[in-house]
Amino acid sequence: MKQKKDVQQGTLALMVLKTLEVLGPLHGYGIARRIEQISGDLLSVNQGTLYPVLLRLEQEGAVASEWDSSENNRRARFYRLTRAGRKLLGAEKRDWEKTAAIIARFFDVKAKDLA
Amino acid sequence: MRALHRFFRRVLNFASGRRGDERLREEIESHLATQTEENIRAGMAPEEAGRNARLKFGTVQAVRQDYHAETGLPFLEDLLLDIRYALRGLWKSPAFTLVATLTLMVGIGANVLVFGVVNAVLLRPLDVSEPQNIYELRLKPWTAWKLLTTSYPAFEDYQRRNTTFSGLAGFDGYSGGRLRWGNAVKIVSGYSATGNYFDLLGVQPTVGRFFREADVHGPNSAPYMVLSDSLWRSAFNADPGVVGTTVRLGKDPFTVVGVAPPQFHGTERFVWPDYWIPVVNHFNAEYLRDRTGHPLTVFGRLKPGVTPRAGRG
Repeated sequence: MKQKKDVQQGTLALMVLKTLEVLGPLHGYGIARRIEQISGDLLSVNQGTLYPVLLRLEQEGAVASEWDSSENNRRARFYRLTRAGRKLLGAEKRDWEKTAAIIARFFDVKAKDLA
Repeated sequence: MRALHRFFRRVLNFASGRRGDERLREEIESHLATQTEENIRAGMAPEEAGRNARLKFGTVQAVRQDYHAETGLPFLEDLLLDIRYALRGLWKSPAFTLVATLTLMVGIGANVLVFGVVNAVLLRPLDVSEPQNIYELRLKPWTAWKLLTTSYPAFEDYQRRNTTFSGLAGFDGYSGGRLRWGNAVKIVSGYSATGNYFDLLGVQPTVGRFFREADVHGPNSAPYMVLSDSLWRSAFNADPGVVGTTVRLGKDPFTVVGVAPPQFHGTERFVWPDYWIPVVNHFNAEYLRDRTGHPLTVFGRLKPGVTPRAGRG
């Protein structure tokens, strides 16, 4: 059976930021749902772990939140990206791509390239 | 910047006692309800739908803990809890608390005392020239063990009639007040001393000069101040330029004339003065004529060849 992958430290915050950038203001459940959909059930994330991450992002000033009513008329707290959050997302994205590119190069290397 | 932002929010939450608990509870509730609804719409039985929602959410307790740790300053909160717990423990066993406190008090007290004595007697004895010739004058039985023995007129009489000492000087260790210079203020205590005090002891200033007998011409004639080395360092940054500046002791202006050497800390064992001023600028004219008070400690240097025994006669 294929093992679901545990989410890496810090990447959850990045996923949250990206989700909010793409979809605009969203409540916790919505964010959890999107992450699940996009990762195609490859990730095992307890949805609950999202909330401490959201709080942390809010305390850092990357997102802001307020109570509102959701699409099915339930009270829910909506999170939206702030300007600082947008900047943070950009920086994190570049970082991530750089790291990924470096690792990719190591994987591509063959013995003859190093001769 | 982000870390700072986050830190301030945490401090704020901690200080205001705000806990995110209520908000988190509502959010979890709303989350589970939405998930359950969605599950039902997908065809699950209501009971199964609720169970599945809770499973997906994970352990509420763990989430709550993480959330709470992020809200405030868990380290400080734990510390406060620990302190409260310790105090409760102490309160519950008063006998133990009392004994422990007393033990600590006696231990610390004894150490302070022993160090004080060792410091004053062994490490820093009176540093003047030929100290073996210097004697305090206590002429009446009641003056034994007392520091303040003599009125200023009586001191002047002794000085005039003295034959056994090459000189007599007096001081009063109970001067003190607010010292002001520039924009700074410091509570200090020091000596007032007769004009010949430093000359008689044979101490040399490190900076500037000391006040002398020749400076003194009756009440309020010598507004001069000598600083102790420690005050000079702690309050004036060991600035030699302090000589010649004016400071205020209480309301009275004094000109700083010099600084005493570091080894010289007055003529008492345990009370070290911050400064010295002349007696004539410490006592007012009336008190300088008063024979009923006895504000001075008098000491003298025996003439060469006079034994202490002969001096006692």
